[in-house]
Amino acid sequence: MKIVIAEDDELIRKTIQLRLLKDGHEVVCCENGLVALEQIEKIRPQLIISDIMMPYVTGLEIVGTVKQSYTPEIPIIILSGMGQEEIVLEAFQLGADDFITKPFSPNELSLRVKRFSQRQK
Amino acid sequence: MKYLAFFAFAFFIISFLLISYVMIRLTIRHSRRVKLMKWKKMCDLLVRTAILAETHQINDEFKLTPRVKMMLSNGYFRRLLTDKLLVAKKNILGHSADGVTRLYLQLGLEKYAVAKLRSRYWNLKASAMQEIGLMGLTIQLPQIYRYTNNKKELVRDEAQLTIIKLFGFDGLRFLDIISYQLTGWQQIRLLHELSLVESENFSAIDKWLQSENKSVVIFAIKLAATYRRFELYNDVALHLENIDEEIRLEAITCMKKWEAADAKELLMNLFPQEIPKNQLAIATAFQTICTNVDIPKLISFLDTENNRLKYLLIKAIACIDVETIKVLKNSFSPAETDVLMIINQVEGEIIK
Repeated sequence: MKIVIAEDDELIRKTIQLRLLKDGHEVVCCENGLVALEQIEKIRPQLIISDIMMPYVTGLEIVGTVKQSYTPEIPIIILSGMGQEEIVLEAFQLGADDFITKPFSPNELSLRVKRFSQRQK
Repeated sequence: MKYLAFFAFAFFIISFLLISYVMIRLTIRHSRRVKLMKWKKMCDLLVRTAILAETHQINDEFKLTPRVKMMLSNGYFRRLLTDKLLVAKKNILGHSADGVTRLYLQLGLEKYAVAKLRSRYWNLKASAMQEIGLMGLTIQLPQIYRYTNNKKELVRDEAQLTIIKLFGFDGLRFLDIISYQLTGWQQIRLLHELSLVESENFSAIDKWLQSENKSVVIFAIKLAATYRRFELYNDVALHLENIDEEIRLEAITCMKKWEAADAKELLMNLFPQEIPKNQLAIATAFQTICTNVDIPKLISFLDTENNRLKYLLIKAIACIDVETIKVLKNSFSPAETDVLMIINQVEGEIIK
């Protein structure tokens, strides 16, 4: 499965990348929302995992842009912090498909990705 | 001619020295940057190894290279690694988070946290407590407890949060001893921290409700309200008549949260003599605790200049019986535009 990860924290980004690589996915990492949008347009991934708070373009903007301009069928998992329920709801209204609250377990993320992967098969 | 040659020579020498100085500085800076990048990569690799480790046994150790062990004596590298471990611990859960803690302990980084805790600089003490709390280390407890009443606000705030992180509701016993005031912001942070741990039927709120520290009383009322400790009704109700207006306000807010109909008579009696801010809070409480029989009294309270208060009282009436405000509307003369506009607004809100 082709996955784009948009996360500004390098450690978290790499952790998610390595976990998903281990599961056999093809992963492209982006350090901010702007790069993520470029990559999404370029490679048309099968799944997007995006943090909410990011420089230049936020996770919400990514959800909005993907669901309106590009292919809306690409599922998006939002990574949110504790106490960001309002923003998560906004993300869902914009079309996000799932969310994970930080702190999160990489194993749980892997399972959620697996679920999306099975759905696409 | 001689002078010109001398000046040219001097200019050449100065330029040479200046360029050499700049070159050396740039080289040093570059090599430092390269070194820093290497260290960052090393730290990232270590932390990722801990996060993605297959083994979950508590006694299993990570394989560390001699270079890493050697580098630990370098304060800057240690700080870099500790920061990375703390970021990971903040963002990761489950076995991966356990791996991070195991690596932290294996590297002996807790020794440095303890040393920082004893530092004479308050910022280092505060950061050490954050570290200890995040890593869940129950070390140096007496010292951290002592810091919960430290004269430096940041130190005592961090100590209080650390104690809650480590012991949940049991940690609240620092409320017995603090003499400094808990700020409104600190109370929010403490409540947030408590919301992350499993709620228990913790004791001692009744004792804190009698505290001589005003902020402890306010915080205790907040705790009673948040955790629905209805058995403390009488203790909280006593504070509705406290001489301190902030404590009274908190008690009113608690009664509103509890939707305590028993407090209705008392609030009705207190309403006329309360300060405007507290009257607003009581009027808000009326929306949930009053019934049809209270409407005449609520109407009598409308004799006020405060439009915000009028709005809340009319809203309370509308919440009890929406038909009453239609009758009320006819009872005012068209000249009383303020109150009629408020009634219209409330009607509009209710229809929505």
